[in-house]
Amino acid sequence: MHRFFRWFGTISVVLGGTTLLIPRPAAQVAQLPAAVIPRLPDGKPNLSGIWQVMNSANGNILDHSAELGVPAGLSVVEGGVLPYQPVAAAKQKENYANRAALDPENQCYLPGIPRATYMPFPFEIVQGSTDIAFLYEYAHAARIVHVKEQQHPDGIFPWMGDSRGRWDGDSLVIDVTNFDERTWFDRAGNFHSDELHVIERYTIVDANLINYEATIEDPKVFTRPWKMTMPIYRHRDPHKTLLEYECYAYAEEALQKGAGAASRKH
Amino acid sequence: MRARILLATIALCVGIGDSVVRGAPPQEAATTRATTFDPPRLPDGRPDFQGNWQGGSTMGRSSFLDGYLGDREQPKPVASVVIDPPDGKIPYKSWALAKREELWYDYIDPFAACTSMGTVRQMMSTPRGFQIFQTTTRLAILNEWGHVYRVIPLDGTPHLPSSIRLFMGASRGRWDGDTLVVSTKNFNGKTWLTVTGDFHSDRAEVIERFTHSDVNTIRYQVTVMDPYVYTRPWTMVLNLQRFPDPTEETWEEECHGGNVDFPHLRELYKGFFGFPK
Repeated sequence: MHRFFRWFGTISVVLGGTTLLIPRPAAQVAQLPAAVIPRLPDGKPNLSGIWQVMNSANGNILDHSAELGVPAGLSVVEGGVLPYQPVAAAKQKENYANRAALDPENQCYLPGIPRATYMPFPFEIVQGSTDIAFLYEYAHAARIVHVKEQQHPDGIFPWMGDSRGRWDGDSLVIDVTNFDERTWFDRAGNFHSDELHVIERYTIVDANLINYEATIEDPKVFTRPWKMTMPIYRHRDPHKTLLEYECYAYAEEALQKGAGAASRKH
Repeated sequence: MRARILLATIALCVGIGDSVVRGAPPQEAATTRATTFDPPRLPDGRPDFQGNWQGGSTMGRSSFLDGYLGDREQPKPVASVVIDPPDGKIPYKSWALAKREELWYDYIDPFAACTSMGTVRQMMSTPRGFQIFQTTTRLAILNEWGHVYRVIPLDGTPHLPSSIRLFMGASRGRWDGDTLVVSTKNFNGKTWLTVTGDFHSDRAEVIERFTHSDVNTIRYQVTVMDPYVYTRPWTMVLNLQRFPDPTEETWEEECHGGNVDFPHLRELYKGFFGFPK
């Protein structure tokens, strides 16, 4: 009860059984604690925990109205436009028209980076002593952010790319290359090639908020680099754990029952 | 009658739990016995299990836990890693023993459908292995194969309600000196323990104990309890070995993304979603 009133910045006074809410004086509100970045003993920001975005970027990373299964949302892309090369712009339109069949999410394929960040599922960061694990509840997607070795390997093309991380002040900067070209940025058919290069920045600003930025470069698809930004929020329940979304187990079950969205081509 | 119940209770207590009451485990090999090694530690003082590891020797441990050979041809016989019961055999009930034969004969391994393979089988991955990440409150194990993972809370987070069922179950860890003790429940019964059809049901509880034997070896002891499938709990021990090359990394192996013959897969796994009953 006490905590409830304090949060709303008021003082509660009970008079003869009735509770009066009196606005808290300005001086008391200013005494709320300043943002504190959680840190490890060696001073590095501690990103460990369970996180999730609150937006509709997985539906469409640009401004969009709602459609079936996709809430409306504002663009997470700075400038609100994707700088496609002309041929690529046409391909995106074709992707959008055929998204039920073509969206790799409908086949339960891995979402890649940055899409894994803003899937409507939580993810957990386990920040080990050197390498950092990013574990996504969706289809148990996962990636290791290698810190000791900064060099990307040759000749491998994981769905989630190859991630090499380093600290820049209090920001974790992750360089991601070597992508499988089949992932999309969202359900609206925004796509890339095998030359995709993503530079992410995770900047933790207080105990419960990360400011996320991803710079996208792909000289085969776009005329210039572009950037997306979004806040990522911590799950506050101290007993929260990731559960499972073993996507293809259900997708196969749905197919066996002849459920809709069966326009899969293999 | 009372004496029989008392004896049965004593026998049950002896079988249950993560230490064999009769003193030194009867069949544990010298190579898996823990020493009084002082392990590398994290700043919080806890043993540091991080690194790239693989479980057991090639071929042997992800199949034929108890030396069961079935009727498939084997390059060489494989010794059991089961230390309790003393005869080294997994104590299946008779219907379950027949079920294992059937599973091994049909060989529709859920692992081949790219579903997460459960806690124990995850640890027996070799040569691909897994990487361990550790903080004060979490130990995460991420396998290369199929990017299967589990995250073990170390902070007293309680077990999930039994209505939640997961391929990997839900693990909860605590420290017993320098040994990490992990209890896992909430299985969905859709995983095998080995490639040869060893299995437990969704009613299983698995207790694991991880102890450093030396800087490159973890003694891994598992007790599996499942009154639906076994006549009593049973215990196995094997070594997890650190990858000798320190530059070796764990990468991605995306099983499902590589599958191409979906019609055939669907046909084979028709019975899968009702398994096992």
